[in-house]
Amino acid sequence: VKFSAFSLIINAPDPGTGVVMGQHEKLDSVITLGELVEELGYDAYQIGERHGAPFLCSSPAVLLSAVAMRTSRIRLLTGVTVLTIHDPLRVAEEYALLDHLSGGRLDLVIAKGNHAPHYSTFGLDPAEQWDVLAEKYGLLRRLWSEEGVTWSGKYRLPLEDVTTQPRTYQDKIRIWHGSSTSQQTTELAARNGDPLFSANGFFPSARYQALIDHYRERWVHYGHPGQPTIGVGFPALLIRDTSQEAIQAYRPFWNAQRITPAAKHNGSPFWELEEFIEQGSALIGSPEQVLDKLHRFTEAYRHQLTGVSVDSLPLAWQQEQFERFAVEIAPDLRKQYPNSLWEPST
Amino acid sequence: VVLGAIAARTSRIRLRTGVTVVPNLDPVRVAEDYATVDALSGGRVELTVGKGNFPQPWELFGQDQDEQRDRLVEGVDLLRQIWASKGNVDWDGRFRPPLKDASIGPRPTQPSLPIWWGVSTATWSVEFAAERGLPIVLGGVAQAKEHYGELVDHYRERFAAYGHAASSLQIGTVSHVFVRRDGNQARKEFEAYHHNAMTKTLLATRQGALYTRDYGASLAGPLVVGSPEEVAAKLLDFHARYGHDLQFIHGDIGGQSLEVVAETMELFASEVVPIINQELGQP
Repeated sequence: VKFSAFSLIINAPDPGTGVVMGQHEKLDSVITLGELVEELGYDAYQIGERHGAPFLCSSPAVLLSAVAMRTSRIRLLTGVTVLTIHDPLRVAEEYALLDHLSGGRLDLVIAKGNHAPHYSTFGLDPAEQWDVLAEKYGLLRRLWSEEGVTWSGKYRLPLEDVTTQPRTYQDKIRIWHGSSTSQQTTELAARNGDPLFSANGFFPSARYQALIDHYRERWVHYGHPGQPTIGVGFPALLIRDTSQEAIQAYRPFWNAQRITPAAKHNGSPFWELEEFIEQGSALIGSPEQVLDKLHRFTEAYRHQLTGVSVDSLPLAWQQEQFERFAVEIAPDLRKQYPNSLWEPST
Repeated sequence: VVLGAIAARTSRIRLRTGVTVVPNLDPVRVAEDYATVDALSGGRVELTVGKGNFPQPWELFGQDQDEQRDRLVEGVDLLRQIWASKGNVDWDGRFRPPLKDASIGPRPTQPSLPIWWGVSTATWSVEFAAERGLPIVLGGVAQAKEHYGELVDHYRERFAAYGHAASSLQIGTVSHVFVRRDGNQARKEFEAYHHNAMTKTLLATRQGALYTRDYGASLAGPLVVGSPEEVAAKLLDFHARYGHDLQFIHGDIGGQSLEVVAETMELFASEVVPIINQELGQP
């Protein structure tokens, strides 16, 4: 497997001290963490998109362009770009710029998003979001792959003979589809032969497994060759020498997180941290436990990209956890499950 | 996106747009994007807003050109409201969905992120900037000194009439600048770039023919091309009329390599700026 470090740039108060970082300091840490994860040998750095406090990632293209200037190797991913609320033409322009500034290191992950406030802020009807997503995805693909695009659809004014600038740096920017709730996404991804990125968030793993299974099934149905490319997120990482220490250290963050509006909207069935650890994707425990769990997940999902997040932990812990993961966990998994994602084709 | 990248590689310079075409954009997205750059850069962003000067955006974004003024005004007022608000935003208008108790972030790092108002031809536009107390940036590159001079006079008068303190008035202007040690060499070298811009890019895509294609007339008018001494003298002549605080140097009108533009920028910084500062008695 390959590894990505991902963040939704949650600027929440430290549950121990109550202190909230300044926004400049917090956003500056996004860049320094990008530099760190490149040094540590991660394959990718991934920034999500949410609109409204406590998230500071309303402009992932801007943040990733800053990261691009301070890194040279790692892939730059969104996670996810909420395509439903944007004009695909602006998305085509902004991310093509990022593709150039990064020397072709962009992979775009698109989805409908999972944050309630964006419906009202951007005037999107949730009942229409799947149709909106499919239409905007189709237009974005055309704007990147064709010149002189003439197009008409339901959710944007028609275009006549339009060539967006700049053109993409890469021949074809990979577009992943973020998956967490619906077969409409797995269907859209499979139909177009695109990779899938499973949120693998705060629900029992069976739900995400079922969506991944559906995606594989539809991939075969559409006659695509080989195995599809799948990424999987792990939204909580905390390694301590023993599982007791890890659980104890994480509990205040879990208790603060589970009562936030974002968590309520999410509707997670997990209330106790132990439930999240036993039935869900939490990587909270000793190095042996975390490694063992990732082996089980990787055997089950058969994915090529593992994303880990340390969001909501204090900055010093984030740095420490990215490092422990890179040193104590990643090498074994890399060796056991090799793949050619992002490697130059021969 | 571009300024976000530049923010990561610089530490001191102000990061400005010229111009942010607000009528074609969602003001909420503009607020988010530039607040992010402001936070990343430690508070170095300044926005110049305007209706834009090229017709393509209108075709791309499918908006009625007659509405551009209303869209611009509504958009800029919303942008100012978002950045001025301490908490969530309530707003209702014509051109985007209403906002109800909306959380929009991040916050700009500067307590008041400067918004400059781009002015090229219309007096209503000067009037609006004066009413809101916004600093202005003159288009500067297309028309005669007297045209911009009249806009400046009008702006100063209206700015005072609306009761804003003269000390808070700020004016910028833009010039196409090309500097070489030898003034004749500069004028000779620049002619091809000017011809190219007028026939293939600027004029070919513009609707109104604000620019003149005549090179001699342009040199006598808005173009600032010559030796360091000539360039300084011409900018000082503009300054005598506008009394502006900020001069934008547009060194690349298209078709020029990085080296060609960099030579202008280097000569400007090392030789033109000292003459102007000495003349105006500035450090």
